[in-house]
Amino acid sequence: MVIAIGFEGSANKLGIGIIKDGVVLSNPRHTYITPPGQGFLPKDTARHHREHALSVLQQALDEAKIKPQDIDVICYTKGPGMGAPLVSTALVARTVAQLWKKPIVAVNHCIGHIEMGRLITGSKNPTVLYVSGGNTQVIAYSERCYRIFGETIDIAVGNCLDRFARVLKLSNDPSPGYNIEQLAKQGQKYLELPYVVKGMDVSFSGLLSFIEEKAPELIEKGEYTPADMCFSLQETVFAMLIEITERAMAHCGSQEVLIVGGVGCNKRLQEMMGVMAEERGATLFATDERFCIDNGAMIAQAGWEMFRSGITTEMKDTTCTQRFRTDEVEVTWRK
Amino acid sequence: MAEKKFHHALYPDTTIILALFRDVENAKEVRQAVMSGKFDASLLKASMIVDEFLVTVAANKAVHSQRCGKMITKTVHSEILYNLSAGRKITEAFKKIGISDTDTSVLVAIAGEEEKVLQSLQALKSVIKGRQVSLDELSSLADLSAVRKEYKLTDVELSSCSPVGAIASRIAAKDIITV
Amino acid sequence: MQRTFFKQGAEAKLERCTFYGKPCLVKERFRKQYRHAVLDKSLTTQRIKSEVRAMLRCRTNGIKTPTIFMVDMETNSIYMEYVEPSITVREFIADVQQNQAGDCPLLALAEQIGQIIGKAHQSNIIHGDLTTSNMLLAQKFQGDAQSTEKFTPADILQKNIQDLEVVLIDFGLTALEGTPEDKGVDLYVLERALLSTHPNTDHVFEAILMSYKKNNPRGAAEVVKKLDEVRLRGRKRTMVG
Repeated sequence: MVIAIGFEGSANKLGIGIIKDGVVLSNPRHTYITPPGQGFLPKDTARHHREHALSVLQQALDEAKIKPQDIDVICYTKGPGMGAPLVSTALVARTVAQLWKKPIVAVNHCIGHIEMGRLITGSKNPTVLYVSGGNTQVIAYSERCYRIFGETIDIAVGNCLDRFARVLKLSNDPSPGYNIEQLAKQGQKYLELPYVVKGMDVSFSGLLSFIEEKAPELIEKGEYTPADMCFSLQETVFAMLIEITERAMAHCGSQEVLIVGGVGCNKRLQEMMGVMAEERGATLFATDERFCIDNGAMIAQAGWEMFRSGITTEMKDTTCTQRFRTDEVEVTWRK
Repeated sequence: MAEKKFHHALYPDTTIILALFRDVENAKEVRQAVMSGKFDASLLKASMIVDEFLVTVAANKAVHSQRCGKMITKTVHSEILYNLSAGRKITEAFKKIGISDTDTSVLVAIAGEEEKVLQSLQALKSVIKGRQVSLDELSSLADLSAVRKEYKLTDVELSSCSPVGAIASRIAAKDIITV
Repeated sequence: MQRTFFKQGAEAKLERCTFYGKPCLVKERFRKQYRHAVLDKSLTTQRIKSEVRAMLRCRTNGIKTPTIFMVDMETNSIYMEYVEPSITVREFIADVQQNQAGDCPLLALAEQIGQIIGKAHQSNIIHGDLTTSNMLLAQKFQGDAQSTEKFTPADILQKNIQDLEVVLIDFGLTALEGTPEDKGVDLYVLERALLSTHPNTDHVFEAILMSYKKNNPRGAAEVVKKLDEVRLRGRKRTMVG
């Protein structure tokens, strides 16, 4: 029986979660929400994490009904993500590890998403679409590595959506992406936007520039409503993601697809992916906002896997890094 | 009966006929007969057609365009002619690929409902003063340098494939590629 | 028109038929139900045009590709020559290795492959999906001296590589402009496809590169540099944050 606690703070969500042998005991989270039209800056985000770390930690322990001495391993997000927020979260993890005299494991954020997705959905060996504000990758497991089949060559899809939400001055509560999704449901008129898929990779910066420039004037002229714009944006970016996912699935002969990451909460994306999966006779796996969105339990889960396969991180190596590729990690816990 | 008759690949109710005439004395008269509506046909300069397959490709495309309501010219017969030309100007097509008053070798293509097509062919045969020959003679009538010039075929291209493939591809893709 | 099923990919279905007596392959792109109808049509139309343009451009630059017979935008289909007799380069390499026929055929083949990719890149055609299944070996064109002897695919395996030519197919992922990195990636895809399908062919790829350099004299240096960068990273694109 192994109990793992995970500390996640690579972006604006601070999450601390506890897992015991594949069961989520607690998974509280506090999100740093900025006013409409504004993104979140590293310094302010780090401050938010520092301010809430201890209360979220207490909440995690209380909800799980466990004491520090019950914990077997401390897991924290090493990267990728924003520097200052990563470091301030890691600091808390390092501190409790030393305080409680427990081993510590450095976890890759993306792998946290993947392992949580696999745990919650029960999918065996899916092609994974990992989409969030900071990442967009199509991943498949092969020989002890989460191989990246396709990815964005510039910005992440979540980033694209968030920035457009700012243009429209949508609220950031609970998240800009959520509000785009709701508004899109009312959209009907489709605007053709730049669609850029190069082989297995996608590119969103051209599309973003285009829509940032054109949207205000089109809305003002009354040709398209903000809802239409959100609708068109989603239909386009999601189609791009599904196309590269399908290509990866065809290449690997895969019959399972799993969506993880904050953008994975989006019901329209799930719906569209479901259509593609059905056409291929494949199964779609998706989670809800508890696990799609950055959370502590996913770090605990990945860390738990690593710990069980014999991995721990020496205190001197418990650093953080903004760039940390999914395929750099040796996946020792799978065959 | 030296002509070739076959059905369209996608629309079996459409018949296409190809026929070749040499030593034609009255090209002008035949052309005027078509223009005045005595019968419908594409009158092609045999010297510009290296292989009957090219007319087939052009006719196949023309009929398809007609069915989809997407013809560039007014009739399926002018469309066949247009499809065979390398350029986008209809008048140029008629000049380069259509017969002139002095041409003596004429390749005829007729497309449409079978009975009408056969009737047109009969009507044409009654007007034309020349001898009908097998389509196999077409290749001997080709003016290769004029053809090369029309389709801008290069040595590089011709060293690796026959002009038929080169020209067929151009006919099929004309509206997609820039000239 | 009688059509028989040939192959199916994620993007399109391939069927065989005859086009006025000539062996023909029909590539029909599917409607993707998950895509908005307007986007789907626009994308599909764009891609068909790209594919056709690439094939034409190859042709005018002396790279063998199937003849195009008809493009039907109503059904998103391309009707093209079914190149026969032919075998894929993949089958050829497998056969050579199985029969332990030595390196000569493979090196001669590499020379041709390097030549066509070099020419393609020089004309700014980036195939996008270079694998040994997307290259065919067929009877070499001999112009007026074309023999009327028709042989079977099995015969091809017996032929001397000098009597055969490589035909490039499947331009579904093609791009008609690109950076040296895109071309480097094009070569990298081929290298990975070659090495993962056919063991011990590193020297074959090296031979392809040598021939490539000769046939893309101006651009090769930069492309190969990018290829080395991509190989080192072990992945296809510059890492981003």
